[in-house]
Amino acid sequence: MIKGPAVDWLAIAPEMTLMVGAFVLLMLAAFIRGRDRGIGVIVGLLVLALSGGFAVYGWNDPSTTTLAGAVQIDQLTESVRVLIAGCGILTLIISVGWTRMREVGAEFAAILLLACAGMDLIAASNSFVTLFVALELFSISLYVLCAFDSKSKASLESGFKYLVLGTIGSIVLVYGAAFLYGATGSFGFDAINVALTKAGSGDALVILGTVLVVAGLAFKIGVMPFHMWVPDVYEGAPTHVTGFMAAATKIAAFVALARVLLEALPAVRDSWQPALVVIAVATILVGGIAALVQTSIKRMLAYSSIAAAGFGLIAIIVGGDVGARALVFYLAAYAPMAIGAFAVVSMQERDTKEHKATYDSIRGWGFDRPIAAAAMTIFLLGFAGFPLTIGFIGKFVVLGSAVQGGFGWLAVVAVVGSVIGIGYYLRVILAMYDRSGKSGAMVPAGPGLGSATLVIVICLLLVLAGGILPGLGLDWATGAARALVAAG
Amino acid sequence: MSPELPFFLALSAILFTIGLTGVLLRRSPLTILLSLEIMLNSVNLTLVAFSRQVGGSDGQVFALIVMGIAAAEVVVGLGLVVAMTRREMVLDTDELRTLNG
Repeated sequence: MIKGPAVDWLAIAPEMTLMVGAFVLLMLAAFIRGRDRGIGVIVGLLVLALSGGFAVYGWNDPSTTTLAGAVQIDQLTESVRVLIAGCGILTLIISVGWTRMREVGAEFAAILLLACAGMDLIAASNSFVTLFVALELFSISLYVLCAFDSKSKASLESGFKYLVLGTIGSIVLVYGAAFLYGATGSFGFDAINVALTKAGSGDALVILGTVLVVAGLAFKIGVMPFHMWVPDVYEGAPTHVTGFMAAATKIAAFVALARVLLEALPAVRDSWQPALVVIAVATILVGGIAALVQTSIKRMLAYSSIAAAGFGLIAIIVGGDVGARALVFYLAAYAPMAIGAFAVVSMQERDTKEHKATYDSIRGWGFDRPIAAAAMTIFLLGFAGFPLTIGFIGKFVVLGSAVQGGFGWLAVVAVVGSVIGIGYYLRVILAMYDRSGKSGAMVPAGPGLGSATLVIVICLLLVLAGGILPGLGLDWATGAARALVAAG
Repeated sequence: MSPELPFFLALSAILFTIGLTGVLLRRSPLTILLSLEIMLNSVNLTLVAFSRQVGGSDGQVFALIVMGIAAAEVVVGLGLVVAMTRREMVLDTDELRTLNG
């Protein structure tokens, strides 16, 4: 009989809730075939809320590790759990209005729960084994979610492309983990850190491992030069899934990168920091310039999310207390803007029954749907970093950390990127309020607009509240960052 | 360092390169999935070789986990290929240009 390690069930309750919920939903799906699948969404929302509730319940507990040190639960873990539960709930609400929800609702909710479980677990990972399993759990779920609209060729194609390129990313990551294991004799972040601090960074195996691990995670985040899948996948996936990917995947992948670099590999900072600086500069500039020339709104948002990822990299480069705090706050600030913006795009697609929102198809749309268009304006201004939105505070914190950490010139590059950003965001706003457009006749409210409107309003409130009263969010980010740095 | 280790690492690096070349150059989705498997198994070889070097069984256990996950990955990949065939899409990655990538 093999003796398993002790398990602190309460500490991993949020992930367990999500996984059990997913399997219950899949079982339910087998029995409610052919009837209304609304129940799937309701169960999914309850499970996500319960998982978020467990995270809030354990909020003030001291940091612990369980499962023989494979999993660590600290305030960063709890924060990510709450954020992911929020993203999941908003995504599930938007998808209520999706036309195919009656056929595949329960399965959709189940896979979404599994993706959320993987993302929670990645924030809790304390070894490369956990990290890889969690990464694959959410990646494989996302491949399925991207291809969920199986009647659409674009959706299948995006799912397959994501599968191939995402798997390359995972393989490169685990190849790197294997080299680090060969050099240090362990997969655990703490043990690797101890071994590297003792041995220094001269070992070729360590450098090779570090490079491969960073490249693998860069694939998952979607930064230069591993960004080519982002626009295709974002465009082909069902739009509510795209919103989830833009918000939640970014959070999970960035937290994974932060855990690896700041907890396992701080001793070899000299070998990864310069590489990240180059990647960050290239990401911000290339992402921004490519976004300028797009015609599809979803592709433009995809490139803008690539550019936004560059800001997250800056925070990791700065590192330490300040950088970790900036990273956590920036990711949390980006999520409601991304989900909101893609909710507006899905509303527009449902409105016009077109499957592609372009600058032409939204011309004059602002007069048909004043609330959604006003919300989109605010989300885009938030992306661009205008004051009174949470996006401004997010960028401000990142730039502040860069200056404090002695990377003033990186802050200058980031500002240049932001100025380029204003160019493509304004184009959308101008197109929406173009009177010469086709508009005039009020489109009758189609099905599925109510759920999108609800999400848009929630995101709008979050974006404005975070922009006007950022204090609470900043305090919370400071706490989460302390957990990250203390462990490192 | 044991004398065999460099040979194991060289073989796994060669397998990794073969797999990566296959993914980048072959056009049939099925061959691409096969090439991904070759890459994953080259990583397994690395893990087992290092496990022998370091001692203990961590690396071998991880290799088993990687195999399990690779199976899950391929199931989803093959499922997508079946769905694409049903939609009568041409199974050639050069033809997958709906998303001008």
